Amino acid sequence: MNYKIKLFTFFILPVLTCCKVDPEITTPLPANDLVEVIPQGFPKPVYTFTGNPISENTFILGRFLFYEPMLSIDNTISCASCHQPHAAFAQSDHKVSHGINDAEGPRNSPAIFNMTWAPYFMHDGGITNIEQQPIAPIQNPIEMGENIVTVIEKLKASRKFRGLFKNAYGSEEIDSQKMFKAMAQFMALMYSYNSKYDHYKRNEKGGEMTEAELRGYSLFIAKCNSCHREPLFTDFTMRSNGLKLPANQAKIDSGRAHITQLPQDLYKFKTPSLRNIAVTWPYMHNGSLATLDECLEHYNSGIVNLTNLDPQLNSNGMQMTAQEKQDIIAFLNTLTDYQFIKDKRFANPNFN
Amino acid sequence: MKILLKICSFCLMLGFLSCKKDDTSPQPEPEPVKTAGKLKIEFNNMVGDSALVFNKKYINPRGDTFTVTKFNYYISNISVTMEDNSVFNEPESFHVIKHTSVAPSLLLQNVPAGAYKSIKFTIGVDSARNCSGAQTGGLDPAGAASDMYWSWNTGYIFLKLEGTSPRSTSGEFAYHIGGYGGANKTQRNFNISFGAGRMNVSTSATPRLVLKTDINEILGSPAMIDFATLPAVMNAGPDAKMMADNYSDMITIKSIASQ
Repeated sequence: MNYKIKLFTFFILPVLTCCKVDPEITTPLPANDLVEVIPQGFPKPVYTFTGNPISENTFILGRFLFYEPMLSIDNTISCASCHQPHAAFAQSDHKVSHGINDAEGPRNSPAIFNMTWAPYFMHDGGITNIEQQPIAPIQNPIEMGENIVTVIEKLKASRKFRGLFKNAYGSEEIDSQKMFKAMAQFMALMYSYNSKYDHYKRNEKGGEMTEAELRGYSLFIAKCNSCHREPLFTDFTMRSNGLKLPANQAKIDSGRAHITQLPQDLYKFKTPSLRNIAVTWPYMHNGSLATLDECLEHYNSGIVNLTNLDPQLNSNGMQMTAQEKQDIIAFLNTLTDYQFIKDKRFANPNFN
Repeated sequence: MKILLKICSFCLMLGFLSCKKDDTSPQPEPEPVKTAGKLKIEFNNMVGDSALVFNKKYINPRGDTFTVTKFNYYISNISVTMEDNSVFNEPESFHVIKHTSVAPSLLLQNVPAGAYKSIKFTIGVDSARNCSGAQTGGLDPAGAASDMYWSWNTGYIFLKLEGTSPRSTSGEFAYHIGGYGGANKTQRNFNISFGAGRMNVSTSATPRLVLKTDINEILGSPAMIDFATLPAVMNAGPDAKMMADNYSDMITIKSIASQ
């Protein structure tokens, strides 16, 4: 009996499913429960999958593309090189990420989750649609350094990807629109809404906050929530938080002004979400602050009165006590969504 | 074990064979309009009165010597109007006009037969198509738009003019003009009348509209561009807007011909 089951599983099943799954993709991939999610209390999403209907096979294609080093010029760097699952798809322990030939970019890898609510992408907001996001790092000379024309040629030459595109779109024909839609679908389905904080808000099991966490929550509402607004923990605005400029003139990053060419946007960067903040270290657009304590100390004593400093901040700082900082950090630690960062649907499909 | 392997390879082979090579039927073509024809639009790129040839020396309106090494621009949303004011809008109308040794041209398909008196089009790409997700066809950044897309600052490059001039400190100049919204948007609309002339489209005749595109308009009218002080524009912004105001009248009608 046992022998028969094995025979069925190993020999008959592949035959039955062969038209759906490329023979090179031998491991079953968890891609269940793929639906648009709008958690209780969250606003209306910006990206609604219009023209990009959610399907298991499109998601799987997006997942393979996200982990595919062929997207870089020397086939060494994938999206996941700088956007790692355990770091909520930021890159831990790297102030800035390393691209091809170990080139260092000017900015820290941002995390990826709750993308359907983002009105724009990148620290400077230069990208305005998630489907148009992947081409930016692919063509950036110090990130993946590749041309999208060549990427499409490489994918067309790959039996594995021809199969994945066929599974997703019913045809082996590969073009950039299909590629970007699949990648957008994979990333847009990365929802994070199951942290301890979320369980607390929904009165669910696992949401029991400690006194320090609750004190931290009150302080957070008073001091941080005006920009890092619940429930997304960002209001997506561009602001300058008075972060000290680097001594090396060449390393000064003009931020939003790089996109708009406007003096009033100089040194402004997108307010990042604080969800999963404990795992996305180091912090700030340039990764210059290593710990959450350093971040809070920045708002306490490190704010520099720069051009365009956000009017809610000033160089006198927030004047938090050591206890208050500790309590806020205790609260920030409740924003880590382990269910999300351990979700196998988003893990590397090549090592399943 | 050997038997198992045999069974295995047999099953795998079956598996391969059972996969149909191509089970998708091509998209149905739109129903052709009865008595429809074609209309050819040709772009004669010029510097003043001289035909544009790459690397040839010209004088710009400021009086400086220059050469051109690249000249591309987006023509979009083409529509033609008939004598009776009925309008034909080209669907998915996005074309990159790339200068080469032959005059670039495009062909409007499925144009209803009739006498046409004017044409409208835009230099650039409308705001929605710049930021509404991954595009294909004339807007594919891995195809037609491969040299006309800003990947780091979402949006299409509407016009590229590159070349050399001793007036520029580096010896070169490069203008990449784009910006799809706000005060500095750089799309420019054209509405060109054929005057007393008519373009007669029919099933048997493909009339040819010849347009003249003058680079000197980009470089000197109304704003005088100096390669020394403005050798490059690589962003949306006030400089790009100034160049767009210059190119807002760079295309004029040269002739209409029956073939």
